[in-house]
Amino acid sequence: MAIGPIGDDIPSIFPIVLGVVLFIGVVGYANSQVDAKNSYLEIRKSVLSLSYVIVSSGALTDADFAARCPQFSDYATRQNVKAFFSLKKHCKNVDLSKDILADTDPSPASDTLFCPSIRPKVGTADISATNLPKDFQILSFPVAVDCDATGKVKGLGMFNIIAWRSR
Amino acid sequence: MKKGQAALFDSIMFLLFVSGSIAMMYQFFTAYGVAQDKTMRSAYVLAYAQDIGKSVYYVNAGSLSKIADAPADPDLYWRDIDFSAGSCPPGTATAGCPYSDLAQTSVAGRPGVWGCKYLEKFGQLTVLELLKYDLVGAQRGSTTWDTTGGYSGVTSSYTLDACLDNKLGKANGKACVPYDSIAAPDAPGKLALRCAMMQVMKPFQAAGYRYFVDVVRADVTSSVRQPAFNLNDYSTWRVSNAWQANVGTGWMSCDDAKLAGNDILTVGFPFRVPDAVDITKSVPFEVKICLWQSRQNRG
Repeated sequence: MAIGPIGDDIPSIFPIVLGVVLFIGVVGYANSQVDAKNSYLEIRKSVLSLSYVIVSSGALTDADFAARCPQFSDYATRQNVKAFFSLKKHCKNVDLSKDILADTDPSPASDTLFCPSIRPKVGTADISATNLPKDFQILSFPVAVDCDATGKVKGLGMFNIIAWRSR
Repeated sequence: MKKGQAALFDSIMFLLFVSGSIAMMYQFFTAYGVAQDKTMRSAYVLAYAQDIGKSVYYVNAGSLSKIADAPADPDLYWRDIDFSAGSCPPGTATAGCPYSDLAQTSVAGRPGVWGCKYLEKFGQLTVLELLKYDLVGAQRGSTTWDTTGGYSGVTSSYTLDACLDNKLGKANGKACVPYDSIAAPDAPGKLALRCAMMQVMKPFQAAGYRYFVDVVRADVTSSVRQPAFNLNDYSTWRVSNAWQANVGTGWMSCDDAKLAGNDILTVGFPFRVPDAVDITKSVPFEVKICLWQSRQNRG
């Protein structure tokens, strides 16, 4: 009851097609997963490299922060990431509940300094705690900061780096 | 028909082969990057600890005194320090609350007992400077502290203190004893270090890390002695967020934490303390910060 040389092979086509589709699908999925992980690791590596350069001395004065801000952005560009930096002065008490991206006091006496001063856009809105890039990473590093206008009193602060992939 | 069966068998074998390949690929990409991620996380922890080491060179001890001013609500003050909110009343020595002593400003009848507020009078002296004073021996003209630990009024050679006890001088060659049994000037380097570490380690505390800060004589690689731990004596509390119940079972150094089977990350930063007698000489010390991820809520 042969149905011809091609007809005999028709049932075997389905497992083959299924195998090929599965294989291609899994290779594609694996590729996207590896890419995502690579991207995550590269951003993290970049942030660590940035921190080694920026927080190398252990202290970051207000004047230093303002003067070196263009360098920070340059470092980030060279690391192939976009970055936004904040210096939170916790002179009294390190308060983890404080929003590191909140700018409640725009005066020079503010307890938070930002670099760059003009916030980068994420989508159509400025970067904020509720509007962060998809692949962002935030790392914080302790640093001594100015706790008075004269710069003579040094207290504890946190230097925060928010980085994401340039696209 | 036989030819058709053979083709079907071959195609099913192909499907099986593809399934095996997929299983291997799945295993590969689930494991991919895990080791690198772990290394990166360790690198971040170490970078953070190194930055602590650098920042204590600059942070004024006086600024740490304001920690006690911050909390309007004592419970809120401790909430992000201890996992069990409300169970660590400020100013009360409580088992499992390694920093609960630091929020008090004074205790009647015990002049040696202090919280971070006490650091106010040290103004712009940095944490590291106070730590150095804590370690150096006292030499004040013709009136010095004798080697038995008490004031004698007799000139004697006084070299390294090497006892982290919040006191300038004392203890040379003697076992470290609690500060309030000894009349010696205050040099609360240990207190300043505890206040700084309590604040700066909050993110890691919240992430379940435990740490110990050990001061080591770099030339002989032995830990600086600390007074025997006593729950009711605040000067004897360790620079750590790991609970130390007592000397016998509590952790005393980074090595002890390692011996307890923890996966330890350690960062050291060196400094030198001048010899109290001959200031042309100095003694190398190292502050070691060791961290580990706790497998339990405390300790």
